[in-house]
Amino acid sequence: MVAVLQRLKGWIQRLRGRNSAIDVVAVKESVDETSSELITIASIWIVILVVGVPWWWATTRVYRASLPFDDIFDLAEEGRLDVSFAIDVTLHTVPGLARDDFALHVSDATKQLMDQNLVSDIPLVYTNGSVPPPHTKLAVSVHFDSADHIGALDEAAADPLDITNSSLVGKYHLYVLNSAENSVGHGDVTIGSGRDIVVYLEDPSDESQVLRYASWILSSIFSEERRSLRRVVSEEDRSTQEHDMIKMLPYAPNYNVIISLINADPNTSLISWDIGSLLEAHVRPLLSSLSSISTFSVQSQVQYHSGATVTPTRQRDSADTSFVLRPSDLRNFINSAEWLLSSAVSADPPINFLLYVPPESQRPLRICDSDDRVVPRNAFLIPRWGGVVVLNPKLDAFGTERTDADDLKTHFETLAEHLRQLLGIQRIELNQAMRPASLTMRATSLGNTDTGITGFEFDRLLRKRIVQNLVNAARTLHSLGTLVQSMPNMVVQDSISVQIKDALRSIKQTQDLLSQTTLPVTLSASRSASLALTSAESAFFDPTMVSKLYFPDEHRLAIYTPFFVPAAVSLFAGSFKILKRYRSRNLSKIKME
Amino acid sequence: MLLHAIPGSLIAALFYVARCDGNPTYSENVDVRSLQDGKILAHFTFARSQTVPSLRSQGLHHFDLLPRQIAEITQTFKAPEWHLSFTQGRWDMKRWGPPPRPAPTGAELYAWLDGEYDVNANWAALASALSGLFCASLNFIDHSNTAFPIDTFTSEGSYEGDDIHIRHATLPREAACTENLTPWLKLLPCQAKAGIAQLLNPHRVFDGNYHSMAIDVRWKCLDDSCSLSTLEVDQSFTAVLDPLRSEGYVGRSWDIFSLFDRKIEKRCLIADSSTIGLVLPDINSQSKLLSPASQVLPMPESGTVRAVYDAKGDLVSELGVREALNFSGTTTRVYHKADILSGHGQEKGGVAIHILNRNSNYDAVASLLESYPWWLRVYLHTLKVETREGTIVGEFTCTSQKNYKLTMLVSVPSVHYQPARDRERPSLLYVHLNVPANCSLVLSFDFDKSHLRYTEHPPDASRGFDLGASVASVGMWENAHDPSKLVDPVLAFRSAAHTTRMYTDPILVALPTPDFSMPYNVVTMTCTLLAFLFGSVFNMLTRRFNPVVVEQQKTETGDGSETSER
Repeated sequence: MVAVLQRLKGWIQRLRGRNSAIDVVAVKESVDETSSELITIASIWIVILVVGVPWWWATTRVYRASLPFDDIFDLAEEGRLDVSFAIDVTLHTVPGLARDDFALHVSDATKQLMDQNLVSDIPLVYTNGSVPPPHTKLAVSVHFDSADHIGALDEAAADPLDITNSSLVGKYHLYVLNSAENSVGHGDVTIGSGRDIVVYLEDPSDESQVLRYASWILSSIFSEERRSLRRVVSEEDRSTQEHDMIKMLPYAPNYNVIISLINADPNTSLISWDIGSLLEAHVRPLLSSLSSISTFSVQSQVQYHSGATVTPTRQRDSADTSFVLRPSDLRNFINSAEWLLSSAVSADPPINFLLYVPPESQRPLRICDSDDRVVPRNAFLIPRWGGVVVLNPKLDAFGTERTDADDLKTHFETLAEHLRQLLGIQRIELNQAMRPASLTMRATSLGNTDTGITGFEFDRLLRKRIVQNLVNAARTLHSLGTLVQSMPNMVVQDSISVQIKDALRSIKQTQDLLSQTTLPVTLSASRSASLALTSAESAFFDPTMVSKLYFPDEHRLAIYTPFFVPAAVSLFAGSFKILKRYRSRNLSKIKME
Repeated sequence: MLLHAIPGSLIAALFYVARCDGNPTYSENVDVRSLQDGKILAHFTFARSQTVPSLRSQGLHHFDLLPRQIAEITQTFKAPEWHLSFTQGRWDMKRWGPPPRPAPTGAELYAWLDGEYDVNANWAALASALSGLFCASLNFIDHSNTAFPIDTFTSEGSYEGDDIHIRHATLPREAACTENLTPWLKLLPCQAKAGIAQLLNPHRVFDGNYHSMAIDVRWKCLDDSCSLSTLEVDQSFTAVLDPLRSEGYVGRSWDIFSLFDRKIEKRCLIADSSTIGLVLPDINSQSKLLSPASQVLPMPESGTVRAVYDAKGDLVSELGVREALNFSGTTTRVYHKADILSGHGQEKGGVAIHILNRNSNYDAVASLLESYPWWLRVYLHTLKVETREGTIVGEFTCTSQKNYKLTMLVSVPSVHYQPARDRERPSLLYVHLNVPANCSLVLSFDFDKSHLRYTEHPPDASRGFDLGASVASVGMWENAHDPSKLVDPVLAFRSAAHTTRMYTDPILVALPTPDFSMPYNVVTMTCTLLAFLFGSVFNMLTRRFNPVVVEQQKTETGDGSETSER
C-alpha cells in the first residue's frame, strides 16, 4: 500500500511539474520505478483476491443456517437406531413351581425359541445410502411374583383393565391353571382382553409341561411382534409388504375422522341415524384409549343425491336381480368431485368412512371379491384412506324402504373393525403353523368389547409406532440433510435448524428412555418419538425450504458481468503490460551484462 | 300408481321423525320477475337453520342439512356472523330498483368475530379458509385492505358476549365464475341434482347482465344465557337475464325453463319447502301466466303479487308469462350514484359521490363508508358536500325552502376519518349526511396517487387499480320530518326506521407505472460506472508518464523518442 501511495504522490508531483511548464529533465528509468510498479499491481491483485472476491461472495450468497450434518448422517450408521423393549412376564403357577430358577428356565427357553424363529423373519428392505432399518429386540424376562398365588386370577381378570395405564404397559401375566377344575380341555389357551394369558393343563404342576407351554406361547406372541416391527421399518416394497402394513395409515399426532352417510336417492328412502349414540357405542371408546398415541376429532355428515362414479354390473339370478361391484370397480368408487369429504380448516390427515346408500335403480348392491363371491359384510376398505359400507334399505310393510337401528349397529361394528385395521391394530394370535407337534393346543383370543382394543394389542401398536416414528424421523432428517447438501443455493432459515435440532434431541431422548430398565417409560418414549417425527417433517415441509426466487450461481455472475468484464480487461491488460516491461528490462539488463 | 302416492306422504312424515335432533329446516325458493327494461330477474334463496349449542362450546360435530365445512369454518374461527358475495356486472339502480341482496362488484366479505379470541388472526384465517373453499383469491384480504366500519352494516344475529368486532373487505377485481359456483352449489343439500338449484345453469347465468352469489351465516341466541342458538346458513343467487338472448323467446312471452335451458327433473324432497314464485304487478295480470299457479300471494311492501308454484309437487312444463308485464316505475326512493373519478394525469385525482333523494316529501339519512387503499392519499381538507341548489339534477329540483337545511348539513360534524398508513391499513372515511327531500348531494374530495414499489404492481400494471365500491346505508323517515328538528345525522341515522344498503360501481385508477426493465438498466448503468471508475484509477496507478526528451543531434531511436506515454 505504501508503494502505491508513493507512486501516486510521485505521479501527482510530476503532473504538477508538467503543468507549471518547467523544463523537465530526463528521468531515467530506474530499477526502483519498475519494481514499484510491480508492487502496485501486486497490491491491487491482493486487494481484489483477498478482500474483494470474498466480500462479494459473502454479501451475495444465500442465507444458510448451520445444520448438524454430522449428527444427521450419523443416523444412517448401522445399529444406530437399534432399540430394545423390556417385556416383563409374571408367571402364575401352582406354588410348588414358583422358584426363581424355574422362571429363569422359562426365560431361557423362550429366548432360545425366539432365536430359532429369527431364521424365518422377513428380510429387511431398504435403499443403499439411506437410513438402514434398525434391529429391534424384545427382551423377555419371566419371573414370579413372590406375594402372588394362583387365586389371583379372578381378581386380575375382574380388573377394569385400564389398558392405557402407563404403569401396566409391557407387563404381562401368564396363568397356568388346571384344565379339569375349570372344565376345559388340556392345552386350551385364552388370550385375555387385558394383558393376561391363561393356559389350561391337565397337570399344572408338571414342570416340563409348564416350561414347554409357557415358553412356546411367549415366543410365539413376541416372535410375531418382532416380525411386525421388522415390516414396519422396511422401506416400501409392494412385493414383500404384507397387507396389514399397506392398510396402516402413516403416523400423525391428530386425525380427522369423518363419517359420511351418502344417500344417493333420498326421494325414495331416507335413512335416519342416531349418530351420536352409535359413535359413542362403537367408535369413541377405541379412539379414547388410543389418545396417548394420537388424538382424533370425529365429525359426521349426510350427503344427498350424488352417487358413486361407477355403475355396478347387473346380475340376474333365478330368484332376484342384484347389482355387483367387483374389485376392479372399487378403485373408482369414490366420487370426490361431488362428495364433500375434505375439511376446510384442518390439515390433519382425514380418515373417511362412508355409509353408502345406492340409488333405487341399483339395489340391492353387493360387493364381490375377485372370485365373484359376495363379501360377507358388504363393505370394503381403502388402504390408508378409510372404509366403505354399502347399505341396502329393506322394504317394510308399507313398501317404504327403511333401515333399522340393528342394521346400523352391524355397519358401525364393521366400521370399527376397519378403523382398527387402518390404525394398525393387529389381533394377537398364536402362530399354529410353527407349533411343535408334541403340544396340543386350542387358542382363543378374547377381544376387549369395552374399548375395542386389548392390552396386548395396545402395547404392540405402541411399540410399532415408536419404532416407525423413530425410523421415519431419522429418514426424513437424512433426506433433508442430503437435499440441503446437494443444493448449495437453497436458503436454510434458522427455524429449520432449530426444528432439526429438536428432532435429533427427541430421537436421543426416545432412545434414552427405552434404554432405561424401569418400564413405565414406554408411553413417554412414544411421545418423544412422535415429537421427533413431527419436528423432522415440519422442517422438511417448511414453506421456506421451497424458495419462490431461486438464483443459481450463473445468475449471480451474470448480474455483475457489466462490472467484472470491463474491470477485468483493464486489470489484465495493465498487468500484462507491466510484466512485459519488467521482463524486457530484465532481458536488456542481461544483454547489457 | 296408487302406491306411488302413499310413500310420498309417508316419507314426509318420516322426515319430521328424522329431524328431531336439532330440528334442521331447509327451504328453497326462486322469485322471478320482469324488470322495467324487459330483463328478467331471478333470485334464488336456499335457507337452512338448525338449533345448535353455543359457538364457544365447539359442540357441533354432526351435520345433516347444514354444510359441515361452513359450520366448521364458523366454529374454528369464532365468526358468529359472516357474509360473502361474488358479483359481476352492474346493477342498474335507476331502472331495476333496489337489488334483492345488495352486493358490490367483485368479492365482498364482512364478518363479526368474537373478541374473546384473536380477532385479526381469525379474520385472516377465515378469509383464507373461504378462499380455499370457494376457489377464490380471498387470501388477498389482509390488514392493508380491511376496514372497520362503525354502523354501515347491521348485525342480523345475536351472540354470547358483547365483545364482537366487525371486519370488512372487498376485492373489486375478483371475477366470479364457474369455479366459484361449483363449490357453492356443492354446499346445497340437494346440490344441483334436485330441486330448483337444477336451474342454475352456468352457461346461462354467467351470460346474463348481472349475477351475484352469496352466502350469509349467522348465529342467533335462543335464550339469554346463549346456551342454545340457531345457526342459519342462507345461500342466495341473483341473476339478471336478457330474454331476448334466450332461444325460448317467442313474441313477448318467456318461460323459466327455456330461460335457464334446464328442467327441474328431480324434486328435492328433503326440503321443507321448495317453491317457484313469479312476481306480477297486480292480481289482474294472472291471466298472462302460462300455467295457473297453485297460490297467489299479495306482497304488500311493493304492491305486487306473487304466483307460487310448488317444486316439490308435479311441475308443469312451462312456467312464465305470455306478454310483457308493466311494473309501474321503480320503488327506489333514494339512490347512490356511481363514484366519479375526477382529475387527470397520474399524480392527482379526486372522487365525487352523488346521492339522490327522489322522494318529494321525506328526508333521508345516509351513512357513507369510503375505504380507500393506502396508495391513495386522501386530503380531508378538500372534502366538500355540495348541492345543486335551484338547479335541476336529472329530473329533480332542490326546492328553495330546504336551503337553510343545506347550510346546516355541512356544518354538522359527522365525519369520521381514519388516515391510511402505508402498507398497513386503508384510509377510512365515514360520513353521515342528511339528504333533504328531492335533493341531490355531491360529496367530493381530492387525493394524490402515490408511487408503488416495483414488486407491488400486478402483472398487468398498466390496466390500473380497481377502487372498491363505496357503501351507503340509507335510512328513511317513516313520516315527513320536521326540518326545524334536524339533529345530528349520526343520531338521526341510528334512529331511522328502514335502512337499505347500496353500493357504487368500482372505479379504475391509473397509477404511475414504472418502466419494469428499470432494475436491469440500473444494474447495468451502475456496473458500467463502477467499471469506468475502477479502470481510470487503475490506469492512473499503473500507467507511466515519461517526459519527451528531445536530444539534439542524436538520431537515436528508442524509448521516449516520440511517445509521451506508454
